[in-house]
Formats: sequence, structure tokens, C-alpha cells
Amino acid sequence: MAYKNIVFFFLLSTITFGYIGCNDDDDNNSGEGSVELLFKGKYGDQLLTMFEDTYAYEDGIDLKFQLFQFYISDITLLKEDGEEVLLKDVDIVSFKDIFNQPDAANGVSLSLGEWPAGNYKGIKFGLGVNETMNATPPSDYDLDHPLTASNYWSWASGYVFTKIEGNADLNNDGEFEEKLTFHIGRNDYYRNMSFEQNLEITSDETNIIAFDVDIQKVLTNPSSGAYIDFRTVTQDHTTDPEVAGFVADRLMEAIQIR
Amino acid sequence: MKTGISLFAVFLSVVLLISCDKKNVNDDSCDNCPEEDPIDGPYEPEDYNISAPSWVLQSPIVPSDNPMTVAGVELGRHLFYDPILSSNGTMSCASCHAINKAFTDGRQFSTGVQGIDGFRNSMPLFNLAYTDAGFFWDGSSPSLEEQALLPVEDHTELNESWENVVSKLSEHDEYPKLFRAAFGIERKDEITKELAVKAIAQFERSLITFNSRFDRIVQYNDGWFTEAEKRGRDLFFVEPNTQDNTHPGCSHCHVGTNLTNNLFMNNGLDDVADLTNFTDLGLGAVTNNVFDNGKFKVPSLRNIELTAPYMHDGRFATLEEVLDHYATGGHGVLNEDVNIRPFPLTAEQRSDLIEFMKSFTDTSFVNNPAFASPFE
Repeated sequence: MAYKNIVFFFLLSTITFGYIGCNDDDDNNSGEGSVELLFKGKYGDQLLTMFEDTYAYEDGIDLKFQLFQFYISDITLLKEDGEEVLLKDVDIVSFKDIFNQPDAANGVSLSLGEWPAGNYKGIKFGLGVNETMNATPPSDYDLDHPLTASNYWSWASGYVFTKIEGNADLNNDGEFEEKLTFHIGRNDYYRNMSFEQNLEITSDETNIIAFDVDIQKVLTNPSSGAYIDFRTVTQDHTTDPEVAGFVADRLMEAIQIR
Repeated sequence: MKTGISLFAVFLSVVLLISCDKKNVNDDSCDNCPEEDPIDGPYEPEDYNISAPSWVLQSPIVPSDNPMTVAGVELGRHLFYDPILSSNGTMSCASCHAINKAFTDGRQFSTGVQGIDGFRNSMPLFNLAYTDAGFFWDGSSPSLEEQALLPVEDHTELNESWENVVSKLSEHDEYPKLFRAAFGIERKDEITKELAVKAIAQFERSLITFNSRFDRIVQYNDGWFTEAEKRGRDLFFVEPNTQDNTHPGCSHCHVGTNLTNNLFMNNGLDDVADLTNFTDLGLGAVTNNVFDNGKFKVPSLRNIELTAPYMHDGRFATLEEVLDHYATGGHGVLNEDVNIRPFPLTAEQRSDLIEFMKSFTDTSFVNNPAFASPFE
């Protein structure tokens, strides 16, 4: 009987340790859940696509977009006791690869890793690259880092915080011949955003914090009736403070937490 | 019964332990390796460090599975210049990538060993360690190693099989020693096409050019631009200028220390009815995304004076033609880059811009003996 028990114990141990030893997945993440930011691009009530769709603008102008992207910095969860949990120093939200409605419906995700489970009262981040990082060149980072040379202005020693590129059909003839380029950077146009909303991070789950980004609100201000008039302004490289400030301020209004 | 259980337990243990030992799955040990064809010679690998100035705003990219060594670069240089890679022994990589033309060939399309033309212009080779955006005009090769595999077997280029190349290299008097020095192999049958392209890629990564007159003036205050060059500079670099829709704006795309944004763009060459009508789909043929049709890699403008003709299809013989094209502002095709806009260009402005771009020529690069043929 004792021999049988020993054999049985040996067999059980072998199977157990063998299974554990073979299991490459380390599930030791108790008390933490992964956090993902999801940004869905919009143009008013429409989903935002690059090239594919046409969007009605002011004064009968139609628009198509080629690129919409912006940096976010110091992404931080706000605890109820006032403590802050920095999730990531900088990342980029880019809709450059959103070419169709299904992809637009899925949105753009930023995976921010595993963070302590619990209740948080909100989240905050900066729009743009914070002043400290904005003073660092791309050579300080690996090539897969969000701060890349293609978004860097060597003449301004800083990054292009926001890029909006597209085409306008000014006279409704179906020809989108007017090219639009709005590149906003420099520390003066860095903005801070904070969203107060109960956010529950559940352990062992992917916790998605979702936002809508309405590019129509970046280009227009329904409250004041102001908008960027593409009949007179088709590009800005942070050369006109009025245009740069408008885009920077309006981007804050364009981002809503869901 | 007891014996049966015991045997079963031992068997199960062994099976589980074996299944956990992943190293055994792809064991490279050689049980029946031939004893013949050992390679004599040293294997004393010495790191090769890409020496770029501190102001270069990027770190070189060297893949972890192909670290650069002095011997690896040297082997790559030999292979690059050796017609042994071609089917009839008449052409090498250097036939279409000549050092005095910043590793281009001066032709609209390169002609291979069979006398057949390719369909794209030979790309310059330099500062390749500073891009991860895909190689070839259409970005179809994700790495230099993968890129180097293709010209050998392309019938419009070297038209040789890698099997033959490896055989010729293995039977060569010198190459086995060079391969051993570079990669530490011990037998001739360990020479492979993968090692050959690793060496070629190492040599190509070593081709660094950051010593043009432009660099010396801007980075080291060594010398001055001429008045014409200054005017050209102000036409080239758009960003510091005031809002001006008539500015050429070259630096929108030719930006940074390598004078390229490393992106793929439609620069307004072709007036097509819709995006499916491009003769050469470029990036779109690689991604199968119609909005990428007609997009090609934005090349560095370093050494641009030496790399005529221009564009992916070599359609422009001179820089004057290039500038005249850009001044027209493209054709309004949907995916044309938004910075392709018409601008006025006088004869003097065109001349000034070209004078400025000639300051990008690095004569020390094209005369560097380390990059020249080892057979001359």
C-alpha cells in the first residue's frame, strides 16, 4: 500500500511539476489589470477615415483627410486619495492607417501595460510633448519610440504635436484640389487635459478607457461660430499664432471620454 | 502491476522532461558532418562601430542577429564588388551601385547580365543604418539582409542561383577563410546565402556619409555658404519662414540630418484618373492598399548631385527638371502629398537651389578607400 502511495505521489508530482514547468505563461499578475486607451476618430456624427470618406465643412466646402495625429504626454491615472499613477510618458494617437469604416469603428488603441487594480477617479494627460521631452532629440530614443525624427522640427528643436493633413473641395465640383497642412508644435501650444470619471481597473482583464476625438471640433468652434477658413488659410506650421492656438485649444474640446 | 505503474511513471517523467527541454527541438549538433573541408584561419571577431558625428539625430540600426564586425564588413565589401555573384561573372552589386556616383549607376534603368533593363532607377546606398522604413523604392524588403538576397536571382540583374553562388564561394581559395573570419564557421559546407547577405548588409551599413560641405558649414562652422547657396538654402528650408504659400518647401519631406523623412509618398509625378491607374503601383503593390498606390520612398538628398537621373523611374535627367516638376504642384491626385503645391520658380531661384543642394555632396565619402573595391 505504501509503495502504491509513493508511486502515486511520484506520478502526481511529475505531472504537476511537468505541467507547471512547461507552462511558459506567467500568470503572476494578481492585483493588476492591463490598461488600454481607445481613441475613436469622428467628424461630427460620422466616423473618421483617411482618404475614403467626404465630410461636409463650412460654407459648402467638402473635406477629405490624409492624416490626423497628435501626441499625448504624462498619461496619468488619478486615485481617489489624490495619488497619481503615471502610466506612460508619451505616446502618439494616429489615425493615419484608418482607411475604412470597420477600422474607424474599432478605433486606435494604445496599450499601456499592467497597473494596480482598483477604483480611480479620473485620468489626465497633456496634449503635445511636455517641455522636458520636447527638448530632447529623436536620437535619445529607439526607433520604435513615439518620438521619431519624422515628427521632429530641427529648426524649432521640438516635435510636431498635432498634424492635420487633407484636401478641400472649395467649390463643390468634386475635385479636392486644395491641399491642407496644419502642423502644430512648440511649447506654447502644449495643453493639459483632465477627465473626472470613475474608472475601475479590474485585475487580469484588459481595461479599456475610451475616448471620442471629433476633428470637426478641432477645425470649428460651434459656440463662437469661428472656424478655419480654407479659402484663405490652407497651411500652418505654427507660423501663425492665431491658427496654432485655435487648433491647440480646439483639440481639447474635441476629445471626450466615453 | 507495481512494476507496470513504476514503468509508466518513469516513462511519463521522461516524456515530460524531454518535452520541456526546448533546446533539443532545434539542436544544431551535427552527427554526420563530413570531416573534410575544414577551414584554416583565425576567427577573432572585432566589433565594427559605425562612426557618426554626435549631431546625427538618430542611432544606427544594427539587427541583433547580425552584429557588425570588422571581418564581416570586409567580407561584405569583397562580395559587393565581386562578379562571382553573377551568372556569367561579369557583374557585381557595384555594377549598378558605383562609389563615384554615391552607389548609383547613372542610368535611368539598370541593365543586368542578360542585357535586360529593370524598371526602376538604381537607389543610392548610404546611411542605410538610419532607416527602418523598408528598402527598395517600394519598401518591399524589410531588412538589408532580405534585400541583398534578391538581385542575385533576379533575371534582370545578376541572374544567378544562390546555390551556384554558394558553391563558387565554397570552392574559392580565399572566401572560406573570409567567411570563417567573419562568422566563425569551421567547414566550407557552412557557407550559406544567409551568411553572404549578412556580410553584404554589414558592408552596406558601414557606408556612412556625414561630411559634406553643408555639414561642415552648419555643424562645425567650417567655411561659409556663397550668396547663391544662401538664397538656395532659404528656398529649401521652409519652416523658419513666415506663412508663405509660394515657398518651394523642399524640407517638408527632405528633413532631418539625413535629409529625408523616411516615408513613402506620392510626389505628384503622374496625372492618373484614379488611384488604380498608376503604371507602377509602388508601395501599394506591397501593402495592397489602394491609397498607397503611386507612393515611393522619399530619398535622402545627400550626394544628390551625383545620383542622376532622378525619381524611382529615373524620368528626370537633371535637377533642373526635378525642380520644374515640383514647381508645377502635381496633378491633384487624391493621395498626392499635401505639401506638393505649385510655387513660382525663376531661373535664378532654380539655380540657387541647385547650388545649395550641391553642398550636400560628400567627396570624402565617394573617395573613401574603405568603401572602394578591394580588387583594385
